[in-house]
Amino acid sequence: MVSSFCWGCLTRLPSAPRALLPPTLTAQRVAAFHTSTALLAAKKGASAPKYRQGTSMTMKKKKRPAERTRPPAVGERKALRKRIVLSNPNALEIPDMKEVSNETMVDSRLRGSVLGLPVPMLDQLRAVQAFQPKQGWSIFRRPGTVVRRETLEIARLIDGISGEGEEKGKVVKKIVSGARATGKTVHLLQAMSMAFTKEWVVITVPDSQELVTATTAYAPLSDENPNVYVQPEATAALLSRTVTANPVLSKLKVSREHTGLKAPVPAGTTLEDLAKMGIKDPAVSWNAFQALWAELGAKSAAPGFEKGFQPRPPMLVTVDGIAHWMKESKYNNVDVQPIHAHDLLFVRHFLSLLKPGTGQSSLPNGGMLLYATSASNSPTIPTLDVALKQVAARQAGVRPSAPEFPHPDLYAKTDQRVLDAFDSYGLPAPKEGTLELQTLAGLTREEARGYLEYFAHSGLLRENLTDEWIGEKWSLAGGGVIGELERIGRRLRVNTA
Amino acid sequence: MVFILGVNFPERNLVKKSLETFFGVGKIHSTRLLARFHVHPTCKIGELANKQVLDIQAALSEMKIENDLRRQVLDNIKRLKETGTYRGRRHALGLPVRGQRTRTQTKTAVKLNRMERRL
Amino acid sequence: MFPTRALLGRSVWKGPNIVPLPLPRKLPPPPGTPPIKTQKRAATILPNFVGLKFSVHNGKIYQDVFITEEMVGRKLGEFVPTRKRFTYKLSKNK
Repeated sequence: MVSSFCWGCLTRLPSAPRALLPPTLTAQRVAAFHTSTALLAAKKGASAPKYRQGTSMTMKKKKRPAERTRPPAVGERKALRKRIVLSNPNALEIPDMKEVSNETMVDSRLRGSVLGLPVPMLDQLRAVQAFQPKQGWSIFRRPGTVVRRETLEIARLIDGISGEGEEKGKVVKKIVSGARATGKTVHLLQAMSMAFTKEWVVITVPDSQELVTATTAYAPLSDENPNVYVQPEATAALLSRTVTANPVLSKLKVSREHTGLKAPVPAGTTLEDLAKMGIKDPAVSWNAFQALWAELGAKSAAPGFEKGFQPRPPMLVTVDGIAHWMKESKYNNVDVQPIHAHDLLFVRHFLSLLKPGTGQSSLPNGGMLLYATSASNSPTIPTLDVALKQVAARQAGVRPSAPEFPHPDLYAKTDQRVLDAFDSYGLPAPKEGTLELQTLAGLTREEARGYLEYFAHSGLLRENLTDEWIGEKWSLAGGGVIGELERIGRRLRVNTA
Repeated sequence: MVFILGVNFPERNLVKKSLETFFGVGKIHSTRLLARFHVHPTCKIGELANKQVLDIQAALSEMKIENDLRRQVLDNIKRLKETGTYRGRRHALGLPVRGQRTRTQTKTAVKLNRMERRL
Repeated sequence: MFPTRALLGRSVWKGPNIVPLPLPRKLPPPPGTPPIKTQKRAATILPNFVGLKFSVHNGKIYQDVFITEEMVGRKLGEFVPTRKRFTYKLSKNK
């Protein structure tokens, strides 16, 4: 049945004007369940956003002007990064500041005060790269270091070794360890400055990482496999550092014949000239270094070389950041396998000094080995941590068979060569000390006071240095960690009074 | 400037990167070559000793690189085609060879897969 | 560096896919022997297939393949395409 109602007629009805309609049914009046229709309807007159089109403001990116400047020359950026400024003319001069000298270095009354480094010595210290760029040398008038307990200890050792007492010719072997910014590198610097005062020969490896990152040339020593490798460029650099820093080498004459160098070494050649042979020709630098090392360890002259033989001074050997030497280096051997750092002759030489073997002495004329770990730039090597703990245990008199002797984790990968490197065995030579671990921690409160007073005298710190204030800062610095104290000290304060 | 296999390399270039400019010498082969002749990875061409240059040249001349390698690749494609295999046919048609879809996105195949492949 | 490309597709320990096929008793087969009809497209072509004629199924019909020296190590199905090239045919009616 068809409905009689006609839909077509209904649609053709004229639409009534809006004002005539009753206002009750407009969309805004009714509380609608959905709001989006109403909102969309309200905007219909304006250009409504299309489906999935946001109405966010579009900003044109500004085009940067193309940089036309040339990149800096090769090595310029590195030089800038490694630049060390040792003096700040704006800082106040401290008139009664003492310098490192034969007398002051062992004076325990000076503990806690800052000893300046003598100006003539600065060139030597720069030559051995004792200063690091971020140690805050540039905020003071002149470089100086604070005398702490460990400094005095080492000063007494150095004094004893070069003195005439029973300590003469002793060999002290230490590994300097400690948390971040506790002054390990500066501790080495202090030892160097004292050694220079006593006219020792100072040989340093300031950046141990450079030797294992495969950035300098390397060559196998022979054709056998497994092989050991020499690093001619790095050795030449070491020789050049040593020659520049140690003018005492020019007074010493060779005491025996040396083979392996290009030309025979005549009697009367100074050790400086011997080292310079290696600097000139990196191909023989390793032989030259070995010759120099043998000369520095000589106790008497071979026949024919007696003329002008002088007793050799003690030596200070420092290495910073030894953790880099306890893993595989970035160099590859012929089979494209990484070379262990201990297979690099340079590294092996310095590590072998830690345990010279039965009856031998690593430094026959006495001296000191100071090897420091680094906490800021160093790889994580669990075996090294265990090895250092073992050193500490041996130092404390714990036998390796005792139950409390630390052992590496059985389930972790252990590098036996690292453990062996620190494992002293055999009877040492009579004057040879055992390997010790020195852990640096924070300064004491008195030392911290002296250190902060130095800031105040230099005009950096405008505070009333009361015991309370210093105690507060001492705690803030993690119990007197010197790097943190320095940060507190250099924070500029504007006086509000 | 150092000549290696008739190519002139400026002295400031890295040895590793310079070796990799040869067709057929990639990262693996260049690393092996460097390790074989004890050249450190950051070595520049200018720092190479004469003997090392000669050694590297000798090693490179023994390897199948550059035009020899290109010819070999082309020969392989040609052989596939002449044997009448499916892969050879796909090469000839300029379509994906290893079972990729062909409904869309065959630009690379159209560009590269052909009998006289551009290398 | 690579042992051979043929080994790369399938693990080495499995070896080639050897399928029992009705090979002729006498080699070379006398003329007039019908080709070996098979659906085993995945069968590896062994060296003793050389010179034989196979009739390999392509899904619809059996196509003849004459085995040559170069085909050894590949599969039977590689030489018999299963798909027809698409060509547009203009339809007259409608």
